[in-house]
Amino acid sequence: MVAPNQDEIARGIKEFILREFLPGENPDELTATTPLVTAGILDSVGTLKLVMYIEEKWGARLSAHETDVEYMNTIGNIAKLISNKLK
Amino acid sequence: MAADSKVPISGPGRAAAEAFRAGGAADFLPFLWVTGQVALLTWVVDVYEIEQAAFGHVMQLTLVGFVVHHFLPPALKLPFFVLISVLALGLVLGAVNAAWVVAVGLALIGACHLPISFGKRIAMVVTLGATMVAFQAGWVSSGKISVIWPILGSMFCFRLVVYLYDMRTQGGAFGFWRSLAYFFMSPNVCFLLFPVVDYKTFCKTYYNDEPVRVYQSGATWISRGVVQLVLYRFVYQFLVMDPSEVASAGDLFRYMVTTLLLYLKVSGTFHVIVGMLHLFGFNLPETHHRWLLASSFVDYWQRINIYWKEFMAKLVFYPVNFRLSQREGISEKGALVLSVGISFFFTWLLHSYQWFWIRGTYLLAAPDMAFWGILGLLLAVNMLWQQKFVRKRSLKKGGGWSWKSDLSLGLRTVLTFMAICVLWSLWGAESIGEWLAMWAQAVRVEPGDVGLIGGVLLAVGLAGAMLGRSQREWTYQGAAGKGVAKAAATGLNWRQLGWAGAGVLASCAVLMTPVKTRLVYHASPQVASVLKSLRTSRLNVRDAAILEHGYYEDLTHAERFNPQLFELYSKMPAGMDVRIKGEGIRPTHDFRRRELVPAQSAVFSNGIELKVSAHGLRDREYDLHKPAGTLRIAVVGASEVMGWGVENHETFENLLEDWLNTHNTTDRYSRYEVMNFAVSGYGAIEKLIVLEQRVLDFDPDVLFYMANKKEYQLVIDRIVEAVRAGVSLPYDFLETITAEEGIDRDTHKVLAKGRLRPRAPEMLGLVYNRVASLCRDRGIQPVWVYVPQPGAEPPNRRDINKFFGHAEEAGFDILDLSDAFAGASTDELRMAEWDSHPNVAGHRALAECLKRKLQEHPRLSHLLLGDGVPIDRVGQVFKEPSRVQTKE
Repeated sequence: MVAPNQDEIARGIKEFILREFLPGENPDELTATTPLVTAGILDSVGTLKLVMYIEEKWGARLSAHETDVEYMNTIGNIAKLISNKLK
Repeated sequence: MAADSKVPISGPGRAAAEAFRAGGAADFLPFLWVTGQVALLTWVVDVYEIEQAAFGHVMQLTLVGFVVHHFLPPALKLPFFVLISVLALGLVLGAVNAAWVVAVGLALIGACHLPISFGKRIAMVVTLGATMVAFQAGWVSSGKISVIWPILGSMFCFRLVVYLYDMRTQGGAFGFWRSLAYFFMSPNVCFLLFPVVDYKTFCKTYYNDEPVRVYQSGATWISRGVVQLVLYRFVYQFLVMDPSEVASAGDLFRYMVTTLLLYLKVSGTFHVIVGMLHLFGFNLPETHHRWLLASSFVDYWQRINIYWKEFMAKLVFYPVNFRLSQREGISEKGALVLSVGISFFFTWLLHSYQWFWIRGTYLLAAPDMAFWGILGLLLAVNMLWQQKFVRKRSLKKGGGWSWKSDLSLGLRTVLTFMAICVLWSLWGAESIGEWLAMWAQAVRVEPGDVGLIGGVLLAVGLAGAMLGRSQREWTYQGAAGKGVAKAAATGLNWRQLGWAGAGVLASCAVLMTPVKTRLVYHASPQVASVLKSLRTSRLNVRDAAILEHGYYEDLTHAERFNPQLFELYSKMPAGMDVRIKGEGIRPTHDFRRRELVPAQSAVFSNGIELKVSAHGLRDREYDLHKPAGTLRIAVVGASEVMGWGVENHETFENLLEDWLNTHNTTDRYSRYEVMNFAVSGYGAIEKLIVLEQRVLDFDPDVLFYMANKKEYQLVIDRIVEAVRAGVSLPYDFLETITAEEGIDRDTHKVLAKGRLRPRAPEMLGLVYNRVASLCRDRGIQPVWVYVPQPGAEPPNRRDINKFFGHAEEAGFDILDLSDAFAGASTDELRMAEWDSHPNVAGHRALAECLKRKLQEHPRLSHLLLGDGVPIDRVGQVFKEPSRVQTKE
């Protein structure tokens, strides 16, 4: 199986976030650099949900310290983290 | 450890810092604008005595350091910050102690970087920590340097854990100066209760924005912090109630809200600390975010003490949740509930751990456990709810909301506010029994209660609906954060700086309104008095009583939940016991509870000896039979009269006696004797007992009844203590009143005090009448003397004025020593910051004032000091009606 590239992962994460946390919002407004944690879109419960989704969807296992704002604050950062793990 | 001084600044801050040094007036003016604000804030801190004088000095050092630091090349900025931090240590602790703090700190940091396995480094750090525990707990004496352990504990007890965690997970860049800057942060020496700064965030936010913008946010936060600390003083000094004062639903509501508002102390302190760090380029995120406007328990946890929440999430919540989620048989919900539960268990445990480092004692109390347990449970339920019903979020900044959602938000804010108030009142209670007793007292609804409760909740709801959705001010956008890049690209925004600075200046202008101006004083002398009172850090009436109670009883509660007493006790030498020790004082097992033991001695906590005379007085030796030609004055009172912490010859009654004898120019009396019957902790009832059982045997001519600000309170407290201990009350009228109020052994003390409070004036009046009539019957002149305590007098003299009324009605002559300490600073007159008893200078001031008041009093000066009354007629003259009775 070919590992998904970073853009595919970013798309998947964006779909998940729009579906789970931002129903009815304009998808164009959620970009790869939109702050998630610092803007209150991802809180502890949301982060755990996203982590579970990532594990189920791509089989990437995150460490606890990777829930940090440094990795989780934007879709771009999350996609980069997962992409690096899948390489 | 890599040397990092060459590249301490990265990102836009470095470019900006370098550009600034090459720049001209255009760059200098914004910096000057911020420097002016910091200078003004330094002045406000000094005038308001924020966190005592030591912090004022550190703030002045910070101001100078801030200016110098800004003009240094980037490579020298971190070392300079470390230098400022070490100087702050020296300024507050002295050179020797500061050197010890640095040496032990370097050993701890060094242990983290030893070239051995990570496990062995942990073992080394734990070993060093255990050694420090032994010193802090007092198992091993550290002599004169014992003052360093709380500081070191505050610096290292949590930050070391974060540091090691980030080292393990490669969470930050490590370097010599960076590590030193992280552990020895300059404000820490003044604030033992310090936010748990995350190491990674500390590194990543260092000059991650335009320097002047970072400085401006520092000035803004310091000003916010100072405003919160002044508001805290107002709440603390004027609004906080004692549980026993709760008599209606409105009182209970006020008690709960003001208990919650005491948290302004922590919030304000953390704002000041982080603001100060901003001045040196550490662009840390905010520590609290509108914590009164949370709309759920999860929201509350994310707004209050954000650093702690991040610390717990990083080290406990996520690691535990990840581990549990990987286990077979544990559901997603189960893992969530368990990880929240374990996080709150550690929160409780680590608060006790922190307490140990600050005080050297252990903190284990039922309300603490109940508070954290209930909050954890509510948070877990709230998280499960949010897991099932996703809360509404929006990408639009503050937009996309309808009036319905605003109404819902306002309502949720009110409900959360109420729930948190209830929880905080539980946390603040001495025991769960006290908390329940307070609720039992609040069944009555007074006419104004509905308006008070409704008004406050409406204000909270409106504020929640309007401001509750704001996002946290988060300055850390991560390595690839576009916000930072954008900020750097746009450069300084003068309008932004101007508004922020104007806010700081406006705060300072309001705080520095001269309280003695005609405008304020003529508008309302009471407002002027309140404003003046806010400029000093003082205990309120309730805490002053708790503090004084500590001289005879256990201190645990006073230490546990009380920012002001917490601060005060933190300054006491660790393990210090303030009670009197020795054979010279013993329990009596009757209403008086204690008495002095004839011909024995004891020792005060400051090492001064309490020598008791052959007749059981804290005084010189006197014969039982009054020598011929002698005027004998008997003095009854409490600890300040007994001479707590001063030598026998230094008490103000002995100074008065010396003065009377050396300045006795008349032939009326061959000698004056002022006999001290005072015993620490005695209230009005005990003084009456002493008069009846002891004083009369010595045949005095005059009685000085020494009153203090606790006349009502001590009557209530002693009766409640006696009834609950099964000790019989000494007078029938006291038995009658307690029976009428339905108080018996099983009545909770909060309920009992609440019921007796309205009867206190009646009881004190009866006691005074009895004292005065007993004196008149024996030809003794009763004189009521009000004795103040240095720095501990309540700003509101309402109750004290009532005492004067009772004394006048009973027929005492009155001497008011309220102005005895005028013109001198409190610190010059009291024993210590945690001990308001007058010291030697305080006793001298009291003696001087007493002499002056005696000379000014027409009747007493004539009788005691003047000519014309033969000694054999003194008693007869004293039997004549006093000045006040003549009026009647």
